[in-house]
Amino acid sequence: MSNKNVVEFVVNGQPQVSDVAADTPLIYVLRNDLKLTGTRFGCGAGHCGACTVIVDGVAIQSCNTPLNAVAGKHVRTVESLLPDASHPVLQKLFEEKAWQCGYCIAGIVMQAVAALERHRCGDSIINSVDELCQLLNDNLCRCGAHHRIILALAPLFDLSVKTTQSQSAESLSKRQ
Amino acid sequence: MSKLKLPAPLSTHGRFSDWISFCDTGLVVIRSGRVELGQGVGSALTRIAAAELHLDRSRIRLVSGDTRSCPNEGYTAGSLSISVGGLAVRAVTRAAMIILRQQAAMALQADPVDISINDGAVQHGQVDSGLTIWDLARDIDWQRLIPDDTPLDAPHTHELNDSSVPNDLLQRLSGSGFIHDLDFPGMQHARVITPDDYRATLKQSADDLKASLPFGVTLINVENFLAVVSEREELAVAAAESLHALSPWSETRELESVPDSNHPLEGYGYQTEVDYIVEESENLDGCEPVEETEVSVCMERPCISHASIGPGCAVAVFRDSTLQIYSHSQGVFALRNSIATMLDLAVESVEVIHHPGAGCYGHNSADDVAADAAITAMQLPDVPIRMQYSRADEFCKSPLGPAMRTESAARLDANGKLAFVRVSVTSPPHSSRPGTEGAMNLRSAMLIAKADSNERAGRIIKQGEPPLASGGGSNRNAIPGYRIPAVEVVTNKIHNLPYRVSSLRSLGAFVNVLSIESLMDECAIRANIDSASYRLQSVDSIRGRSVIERAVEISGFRESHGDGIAYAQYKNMAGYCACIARVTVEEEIRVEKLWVIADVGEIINPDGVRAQLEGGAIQSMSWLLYEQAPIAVTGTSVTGWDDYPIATFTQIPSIHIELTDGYGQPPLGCGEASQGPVAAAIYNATCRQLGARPGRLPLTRERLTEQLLR
Repeated sequence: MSNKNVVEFVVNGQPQVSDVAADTPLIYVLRNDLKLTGTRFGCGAGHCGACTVIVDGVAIQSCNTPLNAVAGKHVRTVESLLPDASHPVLQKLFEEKAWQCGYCIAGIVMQAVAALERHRCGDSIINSVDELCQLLNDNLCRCGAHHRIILALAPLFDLSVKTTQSQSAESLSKRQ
Repeated sequence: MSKLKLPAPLSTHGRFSDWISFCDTGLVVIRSGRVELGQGVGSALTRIAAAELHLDRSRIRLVSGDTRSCPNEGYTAGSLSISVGGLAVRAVTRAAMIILRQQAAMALQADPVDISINDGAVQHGQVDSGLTIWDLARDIDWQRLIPDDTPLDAPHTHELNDSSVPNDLLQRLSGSGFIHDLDFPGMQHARVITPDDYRATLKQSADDLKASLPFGVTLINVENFLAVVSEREELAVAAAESLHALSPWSETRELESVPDSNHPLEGYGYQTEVDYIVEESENLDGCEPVEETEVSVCMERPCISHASIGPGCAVAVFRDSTLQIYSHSQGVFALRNSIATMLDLAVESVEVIHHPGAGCYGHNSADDVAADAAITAMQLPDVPIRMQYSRADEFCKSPLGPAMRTESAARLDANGKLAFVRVSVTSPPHSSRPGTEGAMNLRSAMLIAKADSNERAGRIIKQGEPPLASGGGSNRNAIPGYRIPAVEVVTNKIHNLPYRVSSLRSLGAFVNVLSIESLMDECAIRANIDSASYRLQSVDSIRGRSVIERAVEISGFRESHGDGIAYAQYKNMAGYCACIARVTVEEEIRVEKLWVIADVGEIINPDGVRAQLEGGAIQSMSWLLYEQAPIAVTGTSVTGWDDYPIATFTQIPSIHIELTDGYGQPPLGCGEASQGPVAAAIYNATCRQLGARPGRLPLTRERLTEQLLR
């Protein structure tokens, strides 16, 4: 592969070769060429986090990362967690019903998965709910699912949050 | 519950066949005009139908917002999806079940009371008859009218918890749930290049512009409309950016007045309309507030952007004389009419099919991007065109939640009780949707109009809003929900704004509730009564009182520590909501905890209701504290998230949501109920701690300092 326009990389464990322009934002290669449409376009400037994917263990924004920046690297998208969806991050989000429209959630999932892996191997520990919020601060959500997302993710980082949704569910069912 | 009239959609779509079909064995198709906007209405409608038909939810196939087959229920807006659209589905499915039962009794020569139907299987006594509802349905004429005496009260079995697999989320995660994910053979990617002012004209020739495009990109030019199309999305994006940089437009319009981005309501003329008046014993002149006893407050918000995380997107194809459009519009029928008019096509040859976009909080770019896809598709027959807006277009070309101001004043009697309240709203109308005031109201309609043609006049964007009787627009919730001997409510309606206004979630209710609840707090302070008791003594409705009482009880409301309270009944006729906010005011305002208590009548999906109230709380907190879209001539100057901060994870309070028991009462809707009360409770807490009522939003440090030092 001597052609300078060819980029080799790995996506969700599968080797890929792409001959599109090297400066093509990664998101278009993922969504349109590889049909991995779980990754969301939000802003094109790396500001909203909707397009977050994991490259060699690090969460990055695929909308302003050129294809050649992932040459030889391992890219993981939200599809790597599907279809069995057994990953604890997904399971906790399901439990707390921690999404509304769902547009931002794939990016948040990938951000959390990368952080959880670093946390669990002691690489970069999330010590408090504040730190968890800080981690997610560049992932925008407009519907207002933040509170549930924090409730869902905190236990994975061994953090406790006082209120849970199930408490409010109880207070409703008591009156039925 | 008193007997309810059949919901309005059934008067225009009165046949079973308009709504329901049993054609596929094992499935029941329900057609609705209410569309999924990220608010969970699809799940709620499915629940309603499944409960009535005694079916597992997986057997319901909901088809919504498809002009080819669905009933026209107008716009999915205003928290009416369940209270109107949901009850329509209940009426249809309940009446269908009655007919199925009668049919079964006939077929089995049994008494209808001995017939039971479970998940489609018909039982006689406790014995399986071998018949299914699909067998029975074949012999029933579904063209018949839905009986208008169909009861609409809640079913006896009411499912509360949903432990099912979240299919909708899995779909969205796996990349097939959104309009952005649609993929058709031969589909091409398009981007539009639009001037700031939709009335501008092109000054450069299409040939010149074409010459600047790279290989693989096609220029679409219809009069003053410009778009680029490519097989590769990134090429279309780059080409659109380079054409935009050439700024090929003559901004020809002479503005009547150049708006001041800091004072977006100044410089316009307005008409004053009296909305509501209650005079007790003497005329209002005799009630003019006396200097010493007058309490008055002001609340003004800037323009607010929808700021959905996903940009507008649509797919259109013109094939065999039919223009087919996939859109995340809130009103597919109105959009179809506007696009047909704009392109001079017969309405029957345009089909609009709803497909979800990212969260929708009102009239956003969905209709415009669909029109742009349609214009482009007409130029390239047989090619499916996927049009998507850039983040900058999404911000600065979308209609905006308008700036508005509400001044409220009260006169108190000798006991400190409200004697007279005057509410004065200054605002543009809150709607310029397709069809508002009979106008096409599509941004690009003017761009594709021929020059020197009187057709341009018909393409001017027109603004309007619903009357108070249907919930109102700028005057929504401007009538205080309290017992007051004399009340006057007026609206100073601004016209001829240079920017497009939008129906942003809760319309005028956000500012009106803020203003009135701020007034209530000021009056309570003046009367030296705690602010919860002050409200309770003037709320007549038991349901209203109980949400306030519950909020006080559960939060341990500590007014002396600076907790804030607020209450409103949305639209003065829908959901009741009270909120208590615990806030820390230091360099920035930090909301520590919110208690939101609501009574939204019958609850279809408790978790869905809580999510809507919680999302509304966070969004309105964000509007209150952080958001402003400065006006730059014809739209906002905001082009990206850097210019438009919204609430982020580190700013989110702890939130307790509770639903008081509205079971047995009709559903009232929940999507917009918490917006006003939550913002007002945060504002009241902030004001108590500041010892001042700044009145102008957002409550950023910069804006607060400017107001407090004045």
